[in-house]
Amino acid sequence: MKINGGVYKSPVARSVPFDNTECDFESENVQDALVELCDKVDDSNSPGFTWGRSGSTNAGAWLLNDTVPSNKAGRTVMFTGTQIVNIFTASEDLDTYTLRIYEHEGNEINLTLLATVSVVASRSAQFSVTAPVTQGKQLAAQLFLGAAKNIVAGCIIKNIP
Amino acid sequence: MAIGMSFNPDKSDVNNTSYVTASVVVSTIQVELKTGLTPLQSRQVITITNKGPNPVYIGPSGVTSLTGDPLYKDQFVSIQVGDNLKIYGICAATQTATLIVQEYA
Repeated sequence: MKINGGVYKSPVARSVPFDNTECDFESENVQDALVELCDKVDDSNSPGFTWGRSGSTNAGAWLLNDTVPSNKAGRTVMFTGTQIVNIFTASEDLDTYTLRIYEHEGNEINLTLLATVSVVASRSAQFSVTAPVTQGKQLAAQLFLGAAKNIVAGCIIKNIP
Repeated sequence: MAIGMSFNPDKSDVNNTSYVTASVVVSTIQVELKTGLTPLQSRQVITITNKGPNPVYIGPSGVTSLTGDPLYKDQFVSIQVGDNLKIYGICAATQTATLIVQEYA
């Protein structure tokens, strides 16, 4: 007896339809949906935190993470093979300043500059950068030049392709 | 006079004559999928496995990437078809793929 005209085709993810109407995926097959999911997970590999400093902040000041100066204790990088791909900033006024992101091993030990971005008369800005980070080291943010009021800064970390 | 007959349906239609395998490279021009110069004589089944890297579109002569049945990388298709029916494969523009073709008789 022949079933389906005597034809059997093995299923692979790319041949399996994916119903994207219940989510914000664009993919229409399972293979592409999984790749899209990996990309989304990649985005969430970032620390998902910001540094900040309330009040008027002048050149040389280190931004805080959870009330702790980030040059004393910063945000630990948990994953290997990652890099900072985006830095975003916000402040209360139209401020002009230069922000630097460093990594260190605690208390500024082996402090290493990773990225520098400059904001000009703006309340918010974002910058695309490529700055590999080291697993286990702490990230810190410093207002290097200029001044800002109630400044907040953060970064997005992704896997190095 | 006594006449007896026995019939074992489990083994009544088992390929037991030939089993041949070949690697076939497919590109943007259709290629007949067979293991030799002609389809295996008395062929009963053909199995086509796509080793990639690109999809191959399967169909009769004249098949294109728009009309063929796509066979994706690591996917296989098994078709109960005799040696009179020719099966072709073709890739989309600028693509190639390697197929493992096996014929049973």
